[in-house]
Amino acid sequence: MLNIRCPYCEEDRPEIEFRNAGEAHIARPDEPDRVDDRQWADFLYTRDNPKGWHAERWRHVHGCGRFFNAVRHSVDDRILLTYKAGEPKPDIERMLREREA
Amino acid sequence: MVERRVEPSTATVGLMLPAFADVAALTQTERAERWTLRGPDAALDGLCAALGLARPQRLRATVAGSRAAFWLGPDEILALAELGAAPVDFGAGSDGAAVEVGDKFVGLDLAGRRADAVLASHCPQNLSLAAFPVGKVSRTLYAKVEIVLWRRGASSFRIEVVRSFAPYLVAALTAAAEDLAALDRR
Amino acid sequence: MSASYRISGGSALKRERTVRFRFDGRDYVGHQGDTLASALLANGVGLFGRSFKYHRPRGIVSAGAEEPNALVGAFGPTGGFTPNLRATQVELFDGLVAESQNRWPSLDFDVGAINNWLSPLFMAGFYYKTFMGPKAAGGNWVWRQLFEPAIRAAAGLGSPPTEPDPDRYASMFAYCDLLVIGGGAAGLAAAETAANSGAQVILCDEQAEFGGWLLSEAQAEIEGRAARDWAADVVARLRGRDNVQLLTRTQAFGYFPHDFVGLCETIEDAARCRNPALPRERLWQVRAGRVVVATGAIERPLVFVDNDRPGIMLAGAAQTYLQRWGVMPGRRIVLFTACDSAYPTALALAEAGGNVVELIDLRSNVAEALSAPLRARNIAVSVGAAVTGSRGGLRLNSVEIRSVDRNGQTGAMARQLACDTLLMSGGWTPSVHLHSQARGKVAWSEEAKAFLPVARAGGPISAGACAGKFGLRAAIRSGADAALAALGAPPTVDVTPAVAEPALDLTGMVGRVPFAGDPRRGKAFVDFQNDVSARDLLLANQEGMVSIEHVKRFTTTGMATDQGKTSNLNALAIVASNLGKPVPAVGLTTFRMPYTPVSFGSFAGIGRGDQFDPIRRTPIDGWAQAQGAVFEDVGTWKRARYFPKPGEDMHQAVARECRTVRQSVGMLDASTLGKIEVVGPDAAEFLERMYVNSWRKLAPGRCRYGIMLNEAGYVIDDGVIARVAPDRFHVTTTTGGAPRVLHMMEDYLQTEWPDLKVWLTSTTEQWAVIAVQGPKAREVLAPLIEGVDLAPKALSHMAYAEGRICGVKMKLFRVSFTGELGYEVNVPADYGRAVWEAIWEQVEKYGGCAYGTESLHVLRAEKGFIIVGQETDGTVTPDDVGLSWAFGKGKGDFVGKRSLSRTDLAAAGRPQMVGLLTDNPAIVLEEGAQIVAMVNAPIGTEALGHVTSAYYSSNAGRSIALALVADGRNRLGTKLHVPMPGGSVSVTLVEPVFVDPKGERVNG
Repeated sequence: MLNIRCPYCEEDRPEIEFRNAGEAHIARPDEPDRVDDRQWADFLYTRDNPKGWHAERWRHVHGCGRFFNAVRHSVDDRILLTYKAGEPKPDIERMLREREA
Repeated sequence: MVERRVEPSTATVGLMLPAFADVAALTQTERAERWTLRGPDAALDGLCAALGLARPQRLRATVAGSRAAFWLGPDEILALAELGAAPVDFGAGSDGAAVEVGDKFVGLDLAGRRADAVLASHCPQNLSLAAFPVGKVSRTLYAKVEIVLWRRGASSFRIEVVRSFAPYLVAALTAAAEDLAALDRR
Repeated sequence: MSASYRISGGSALKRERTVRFRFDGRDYVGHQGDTLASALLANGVGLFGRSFKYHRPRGIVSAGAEEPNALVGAFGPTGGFTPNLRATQVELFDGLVAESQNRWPSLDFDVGAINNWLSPLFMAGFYYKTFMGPKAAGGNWVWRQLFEPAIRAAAGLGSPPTEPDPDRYASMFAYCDLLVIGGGAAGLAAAETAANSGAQVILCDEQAEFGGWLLSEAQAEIEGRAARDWAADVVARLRGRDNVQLLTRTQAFGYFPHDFVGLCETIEDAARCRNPALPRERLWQVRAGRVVVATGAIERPLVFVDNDRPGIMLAGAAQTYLQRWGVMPGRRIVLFTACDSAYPTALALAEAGGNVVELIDLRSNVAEALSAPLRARNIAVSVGAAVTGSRGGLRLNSVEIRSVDRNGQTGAMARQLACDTLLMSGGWTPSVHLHSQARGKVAWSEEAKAFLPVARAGGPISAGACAGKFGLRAAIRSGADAALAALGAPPTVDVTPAVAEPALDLTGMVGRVPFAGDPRRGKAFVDFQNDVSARDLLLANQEGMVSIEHVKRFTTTGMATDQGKTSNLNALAIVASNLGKPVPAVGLTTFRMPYTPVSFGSFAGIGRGDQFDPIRRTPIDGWAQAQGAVFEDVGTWKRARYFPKPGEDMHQAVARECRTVRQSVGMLDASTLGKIEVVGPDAAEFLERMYVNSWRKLAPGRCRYGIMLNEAGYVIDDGVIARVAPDRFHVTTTTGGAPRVLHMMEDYLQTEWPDLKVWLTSTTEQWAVIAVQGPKAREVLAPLIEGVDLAPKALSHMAYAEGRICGVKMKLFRVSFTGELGYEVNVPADYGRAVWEAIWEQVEKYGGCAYGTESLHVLRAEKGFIIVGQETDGTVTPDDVGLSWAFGKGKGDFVGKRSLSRTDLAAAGRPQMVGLLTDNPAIVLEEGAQIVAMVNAPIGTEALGHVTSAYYSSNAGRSIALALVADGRNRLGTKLHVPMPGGSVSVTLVEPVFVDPKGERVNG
């Protein structure tokens, strides 16, 4: 069971309190009527499935109720960081370099 | 004028509340008024003030007399008050929301030497005094149901649970207490 | 019976407490502290079971969790039966009944042993080759009908229990700074070091007492005392601390991400005999700050022909039985070793009075210091020699011995040595299972002939023998260092206690012992539990399997319940040798959890029977139970399905309920309806975006039927929404959809439109909901209600009002899911039953009834109202089910809108909801049945659609059905066919409304 830091509760909590909500940073088009079928299909269905670091959405559904984002490694489940919904996607490569240094 | 008048029944929840003398005692709390308060901090300040309460900080409760407010999330508070006081005027037109949920929840008090272990049997959070000190509140899980957990003392907790889940919760707490009672006496 | 192999000593035994038990129908006596294995060995029982495939007689090999052979079924103190237990881990209690497995009719005479003589049939890959259809199966009837069932029945492990598990299983979540897994020399040192620093420590060990190998140690001394006494001292000190949790009989079976470790604590059976209220096991789910793995090492068997006879045992196990349980393993003992640890074993056995005849050492160079003490006790020591075979029936008689030169060639001459016991030691394999489960890497050490854990920053730290630190001093030191490293403390001066121990080389050998002759002759077992021999591995390699993962699956080596604890490394080395590759080039298979089998009961915990899932009941449920209602599950809710009168079946009850509602009045407990209060200045705007309907212009005090889509354009929920105030809506959802809808609404609010000032609260359980439906509904309610004018003009269809009923605060909706005049009374849940009973008194006056969900479904189907999840299946648009009228005119964007203009959703010919009338009005169609264009269509005919709902309607006086049919609205009036097993049923497509097509009754 993962140990996930909720950026709103500012605590590590057991995974069972959370629900995964898929890939992060996929914004709903502001004006859906203006996007073509291809773009709309991408928004609906096209997702990355990377082997490695991956930004994904979680909701602290049995805790504070908030949606937030996490950068998790899809192979070994390490979590690099969690951050609040609406915050920009972090520069993962840079974070890793800084961590190394 | 309607002649027929009816009384409320908490028995509808159908709880059995056994006591485990040396482990922990479980009691159902009196009927109470409850509100879910939601909104930004400024709105929550006002809604709490209407109840005579300060807005609780993250994962904490505020208490005034027999009223209490629990922080559940950055924009969500569960407030409790005894029945029969003057109607609360939350005011209109604020940017927040106050919604009556008095009968949505059932309150349980769990207290006793091993209350923390009874909870830790099926609650996945760290309930040590260091991680979950007196005064802390958190929404979490107990076995398969969601609860609101408030630590009132080192060995004393208040649990709020949505009413239809209460019989399951009581049975789960009971099983945990029975197991601990037997294991402690080994 | 006398315990003929029991000698003095045995640190685990309480000699004064005798324990009676039964094995395979015979009564025996042991002592408290015995395992089933030690007690049976003490009683001279050497035969424990038959092997998996060949039904060869098998005895005890080990003394611990790694035991591959001695699997037994046992009845626990409460009568619960568990198969496939390792006899080495079953603790004796008075009254224990256990049985061997995989033999019929008895262990001594086993019919299945014929498999041994048929063994050429059962070589590696046998199952794959034999049971592959359809060629083999279809082509050989006799084989399929006769042999295959017999072989399948004869193979396999124990039988599952036939009775429900009578035991309780407890659970505990725990947090600690340091979890130490394994309580041997390294683990004890790690735990005490950490405890001294003030850290919160959990120390667990699978055995009944802490100490690990220290309990078996015969020679070494720590601080001038026996090693086991030092262990006892450490444990006593740890027990006295409040920052240490000690867990014996506790197996760390799984290492999950983020240092979450599953422990299974077994409660001592003897204690459960005294107190049957005790749980059988307790599942610990531990989140550890750091973990020290100190799981020791497992001795390897030596792979030679017929190395599986009862009487052949691991040398370390024999030493353990001697030291801990006072058992002498045999009358005439020979040892065969490839490492040093067998020497002290031989000495210990001899010193305890054992008849140790000879020690055979595969190695040519052996230090005189090792062999001299043996020779001094008249134990012959033959170096550069190997056991190359064995003889015997149900017990070993003799072993065959040949010389082995430095190139590993065996000599031509063999000699036979009589013995009833052969103790073997191929060396010690570090237990890297948990390290590997934690996704730690391992690296081959040629020096140690072992895979050793590679430390990872922040990961578990291995200490002691599992890290290749053999020797007590090294283990203690590495345990203490691991604890300090784990807690981030600087290394201290060496505080390791003074240890006096012989220097032993435990490396040994891996692979097959040198042998003479054809490698395909004879069975030299590698994996005892799955009956995989060296020649099976050779065959796999010859058939082209080169990847160890393929070899593993082809031969099943390492895939038994012991997961190859004793066999994996030997298998790997044999494959490497066959392929002419070094061991690390072949690679290691992945270690999976659980380390040892864990009972289903432990995982289920309290989650069984009524506690499997919450059973949710409404405030009115008790009334319905008292009325004899039949309930059905709707999600986790129990809902009254119908209220039969004496003598009525469901159809009669439902027919009566449906008639009564339309003729006078009925009441339904609708409390399970999902309810969400949507509040805030942007509430109407939010609902505009979430639902297909318009909300801005809905006046306070009015309701509207709302339809919710997902972004793909499909209907996912519906419900009536009332505008309570300009900034407040009372949204209802389907019973099952409530949490999902709230989750989705929160998602959009929090992540897409955080600027909207809207707040959501679930009020599903705040309100009990009583639907009162039928022409008499107004008369029923009027006498009870204050503050609301029920006159049709004052409270018309789809109006909302607040007032009081029976003095109780009420939200009143004039809504109808039946097509009749109807109301839904919402009162606070605690008042639900009392208000229900008050309304019921009124309903009875009008000859009304209570009705359940079955009638609810019929009544709505009569009107053609959909149920989300029944008429819809996640691929249905609003237009498909005839709900285009609900769309707000000139609305902006809403969830799912864009998708509705996708080509396929806008295309002609989509499935559309229609009504179906069967030619024969008595036939009720089956829901889910396919609809085709022709009578008696052949299999494979493309369906035009399917039946979504079908009932007998007492109000229509015939069967009715709803269906989704391609281009259905253009086919109205035409005939189609529903193929059923008894023949096609002809149906006519009609408008999906069967009662009151003009919809006038709702305004009554």
